[in-house]
Amino acid sequence: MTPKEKELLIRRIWVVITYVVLLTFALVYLMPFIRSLIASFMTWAQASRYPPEWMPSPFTLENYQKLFRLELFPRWIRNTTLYAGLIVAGNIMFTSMAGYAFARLKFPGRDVLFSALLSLLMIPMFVTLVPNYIIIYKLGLIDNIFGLALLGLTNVSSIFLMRQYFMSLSTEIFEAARLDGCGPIKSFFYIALPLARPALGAVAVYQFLGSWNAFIGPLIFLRSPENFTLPVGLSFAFQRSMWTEYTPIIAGSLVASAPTIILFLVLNKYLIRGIVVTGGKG
Amino acid sequence: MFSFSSFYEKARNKEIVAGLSLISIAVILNLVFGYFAMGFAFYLSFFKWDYIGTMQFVGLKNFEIVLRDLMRGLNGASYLLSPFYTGLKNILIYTAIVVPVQTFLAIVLASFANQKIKGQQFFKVSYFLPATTSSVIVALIFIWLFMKNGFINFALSHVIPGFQPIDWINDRNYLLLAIATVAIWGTSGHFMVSFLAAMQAIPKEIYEAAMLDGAGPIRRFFFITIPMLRPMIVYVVVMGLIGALQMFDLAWVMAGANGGPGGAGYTVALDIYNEAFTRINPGVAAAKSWFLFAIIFTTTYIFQKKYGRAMR
Amino acid sequence: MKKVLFGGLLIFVLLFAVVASGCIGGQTQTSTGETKTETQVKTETKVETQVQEKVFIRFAGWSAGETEMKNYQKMIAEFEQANPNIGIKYEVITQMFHENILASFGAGVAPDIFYVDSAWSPIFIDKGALYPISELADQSFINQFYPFLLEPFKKDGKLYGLPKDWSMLALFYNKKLFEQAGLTKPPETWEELEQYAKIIADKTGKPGLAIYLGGFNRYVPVAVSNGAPKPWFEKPEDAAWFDNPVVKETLTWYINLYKKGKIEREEQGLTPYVVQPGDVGAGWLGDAFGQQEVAMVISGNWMIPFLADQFPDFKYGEDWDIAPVPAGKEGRVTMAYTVILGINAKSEHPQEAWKFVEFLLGPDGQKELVVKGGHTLPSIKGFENDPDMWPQHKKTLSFEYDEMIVFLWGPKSGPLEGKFSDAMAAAMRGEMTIDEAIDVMKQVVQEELSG
Repeated sequence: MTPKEKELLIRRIWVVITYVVLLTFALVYLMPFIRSLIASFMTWAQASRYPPEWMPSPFTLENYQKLFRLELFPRWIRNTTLYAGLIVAGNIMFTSMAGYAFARLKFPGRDVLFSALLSLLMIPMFVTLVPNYIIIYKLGLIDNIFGLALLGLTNVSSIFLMRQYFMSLSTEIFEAARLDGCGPIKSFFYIALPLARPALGAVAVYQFLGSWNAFIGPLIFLRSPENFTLPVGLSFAFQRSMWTEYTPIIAGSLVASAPTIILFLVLNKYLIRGIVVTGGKG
Repeated sequence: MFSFSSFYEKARNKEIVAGLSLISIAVILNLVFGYFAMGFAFYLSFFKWDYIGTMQFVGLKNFEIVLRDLMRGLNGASYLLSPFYTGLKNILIYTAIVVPVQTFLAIVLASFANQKIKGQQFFKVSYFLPATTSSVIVALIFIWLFMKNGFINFALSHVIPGFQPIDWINDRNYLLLAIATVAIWGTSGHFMVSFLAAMQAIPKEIYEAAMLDGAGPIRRFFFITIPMLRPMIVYVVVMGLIGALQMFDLAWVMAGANGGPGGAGYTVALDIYNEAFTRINPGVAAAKSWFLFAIIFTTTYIFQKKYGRAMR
Repeated sequence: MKKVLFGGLLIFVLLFAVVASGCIGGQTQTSTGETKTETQVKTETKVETQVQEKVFIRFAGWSAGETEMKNYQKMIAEFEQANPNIGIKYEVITQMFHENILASFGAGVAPDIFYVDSAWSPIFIDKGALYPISELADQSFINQFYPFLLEPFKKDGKLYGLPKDWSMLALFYNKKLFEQAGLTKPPETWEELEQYAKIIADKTGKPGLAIYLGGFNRYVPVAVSNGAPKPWFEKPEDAAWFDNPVVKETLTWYINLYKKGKIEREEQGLTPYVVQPGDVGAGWLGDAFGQQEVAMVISGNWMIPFLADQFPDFKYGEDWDIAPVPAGKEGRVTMAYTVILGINAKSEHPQEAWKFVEFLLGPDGQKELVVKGGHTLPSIKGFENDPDMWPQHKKTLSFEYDEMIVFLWGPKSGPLEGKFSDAMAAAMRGEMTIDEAIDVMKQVVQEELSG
C-alpha cells in the first residue's frame, strides 16, 4: 500500500470507530427514552407486562387523552412557562453580571464572598425547609409563581458557570479594552457579554431544564392545584396514596420534555455559532 | 506623575464600585433566601425540637450523637445501629465512582459532538435527552431495566462470557453500582453542554497549528483540549461533587427510605431526611448536615486549590 | 447595540411580570386572615345590618386526582353558601405530606385542617398539635363512627380526630386460575392458604400467592388470629411481644412462606408457589394480581378502583373475587388503615374549622366523597347497603371479623414498621436466620423507645 492509501485507510477506520462508539452511546442513552415513548401508547396492563413487549397492542392514545382532558393541564403549562421564563431571564441577566465581576474584577472580599455563595449549595434542603417556609410565608409569597421564581432567580451554580467561562477567556482582549480607557462596566456590556454567548446558552438550557422539571420547590411552595407547575400537576393528577397511574405520567413527562429538547436544538446552533476568540487580533 | 497615579486610583475605585454593584442583586437575593436558612440550620443544631413545641437548648449533644454513630460504625456495628456512618461510607464510594466517570464521559461526548460529522445534531440531542427527564421517572425506568431478567442483564450476558444475571436492586453488593450507573447516564449529558460551550472559546488556530506540527487527534485532545478546558473542568467536578455527595432522589426511588438490602443504598441525605422527619429530630439532622457540609466544602476547596485558577 | 438589547430584555421582563401578575391569581392569605365587610343598611331593604368578619380556613390534603378535587370544590361551594362568613381554601401537597405539615408547624404556618394518617397520629397527638375533637363535637355525632376506627386517636379520655374514610385487608383471588387448579372456593385458614398456593402452582404453572418481602403490617393478622395479643410498643420492655410463642411460630411460618415457597421450590426446579411482586416483573401486589401472574394476594380496598381503572378487562365477579382474610386458630382478624381530619391545635378558628369538618364527615359529605368516589370505605355506619356503594366495597364490608386492628403500633409506629419489615425481608432472602431477625426486631424496639 502506498503511504497515502495507508493514511486514507487509517482515517476511514478512525471514522468507523467513531461512528460505532457514538451510535452505541446514543443507543444506551436513548433506550429508556424509547421505552417510555412506546409505553406511553400502551395501556398499563400491557406496559407492566413481563417480559416487556415492544409493540403497543392495542395502540392507545388514552394516556395522552387523559392528559389533555385534565382541566388544569393548560394552566399548568402556562404556569410552568411563566416560571421557567422568569428563571431563565433572571439568571441570564444577574448571573452573567456576577460571574463577570467575580472572574475579572478585583474588589475587597471577592474570593471570600464567592466561596460563601458556593457553600450555599452544600446544605441539604430538608434542614433549610423550615426557615424557608418562614421567609416565604412572612413575605406573603406562598402559593405564588413569582415568589417561587424569586427563590431561584440568581442561582449560585449559574454564577459559578459564568465565572469559570469568563476565566477561560484570554486576558488580552480585556487588557486592550482597559488600556483604551474602557471602564469595567462598559467592557462588560461591549466585550464580555458578546463573547459569553455560548455560556449564556448553557445557563439558559440548565435553568430552563431545572425550572421546567422542578418538583421539590413547587411541591413545597405551591398549594392550589391551579398554581401548580407541570411535574407537580402530573403527580397530583395521577398519584394516589396507594398506587400511581404510570402510563399517563410517562406520557406527561414526554410532553414535558418536548420544550426542553426544542430549546436545546434552537440554542444548539447558537452554542456553535458563538464567536470564537481569536487571541490578540482586534 | 501625580495625574497618572490619581487616574490609576480612580480606575481602581471604579473597578471596586463596578464589581460590587454587579454582584449586588445576586448576593442580596441569595442572602435572603440562602443565608437566613443556613444561619437557622446552624442555630438549630444546638437545640432539640419537634416542630410543634418549643426548642430546648442541648449544646453540643447533637454533635455528640453523630460522633457516637460514626464511632459505632467504625467499630463494625450493623447498619441499623449506625445509619449515619453507613450513609457516609456509601455516599463516599458513590461519589468516587460517579464524579470522575461523568466528568470524563462528558468531555469525551462533547469533543465527539463538536466534530463536524454527519448526524452531529442527532448525537448531541441523544446524549442530552436523559438530562431532560425528571430523575424520578428515570429511576423508575431503570428499576425495571435492572430487574433480574431485565434488559441490562440481557445485554451484559451477551457481552461478557459466563455472566450470571444479577438482581441489582435487591443485591447489597450491586445496588450502589446500579444507582451510580443511573446517575452517570443522566448527568454526563447534562455536563456535556457545559463542555461544549467552553470548547467554543478555544481558538481554532491552536488546533490548526498543532495539526501542522503533526499532532494526531489523541495528542491534540490531551495536550490542548483538556488544559484549555480547565476552568470548566473545575466547574463540572465541583458541581459534580456537590451533587453526588447530596444525592437523595435516586436512592429514595431505587432503594427506598431505609436504603434497601443491608442499607446498601442508604445515603447521608436519606439519613438526614429520616432524622428530620421520621425520627423527628431536626436538631440532630442539622448537626449531620454540618458534617456533610464540612466534607463537601473541604473536598471542593482542595480540588479548586490544586487544580484551580488557571487563567490564561 | 448590545446595551439596548440588554435594556430591552430587562424592560420586557418587568413588563411581562406586571402584566402577568394581573392574570395569575397571585397570593393567598398567609394565615387565617380576616376581612371585614360592613354592609350598611336602610331599613327598607331586605338586607340586615351586619358587621361581618369573614374567616378563612386552610384545609390541606394529599391528592387523589382531579375528580376528588372537583368533589371537594363542590362541597366547599355548598358549605360556603350555607355559611357565608367562612371561606375555605383547599390546598394540596402531593408528596411528603406529613413532613411538610411538620415543617409548616415549625414555621408557625400550619393549616387549620389537615389529613393525618393513623401511623403518624401519635406524633401529632403527643406533641399537642391537634385540637381535641371531643370538645367540639356532640357525642351523637361521634357515635356514628365505627368505634374501632376511633381507638388510635384517643388519648387521656379525649378524642383528637375523626376518620374521613378507611380501608381494610381482604383476600383477592383469581377465579379462572382457581378453576384451572380444580379449586372451587377460596381458602378459609392460613394453612389452606399455603396449600391452595401449592396446588395452583403445581396445576397451573403460576404462583399461587404473592406477598411483600417484609411487610410487618401484613403479617400481624396472622399472629393475632392465632392468639397473639395485638402488638403495641411504647416502652422498651414491650419488645417482649416477640418472645410470645405464638408470635415466634407464626412469624416463622410467614417468613418460611417465601423461603419454602420460592427459594426452595426454585432449587428443586419447580414453580414457586409464593413470590414477591418483583419476581414476576410487577411493581406491587396490585400489578401482580392485575397481570394475572399470581392467583391470590392479600391487599386492601385500594385495589378495587385500581383494578377497575388499570385492568378493566379483568372483571370483578367473573374473573376475580374477594374473600375474607383467612382465619387462624383463635378467629379471623384483619388490618384497618385510616386517615383522620385533624384540626390544628393552634388554629385561630377551631369552631369554624369544626363546622367544616362536621360537614365533610357527616352522612351527606361521606356519601358524596367516599361512597360515590369508590376509593375507600365510609367511616360512618349505615352505608353497608347503600345503592351507590360499589359492589366490591360492599362485599368487603359484609365480612365478619373477630377483631379489626388499626395500623398503629405505638408512638414510633413509622420507624418501627420500616425496620421490622427490613429484618423480615432479610430473613426471607436468607440473609439472616429467623431467630436473628427476631433478635434484631427486639433490639430495634429497645433502641427506638429508650428515649
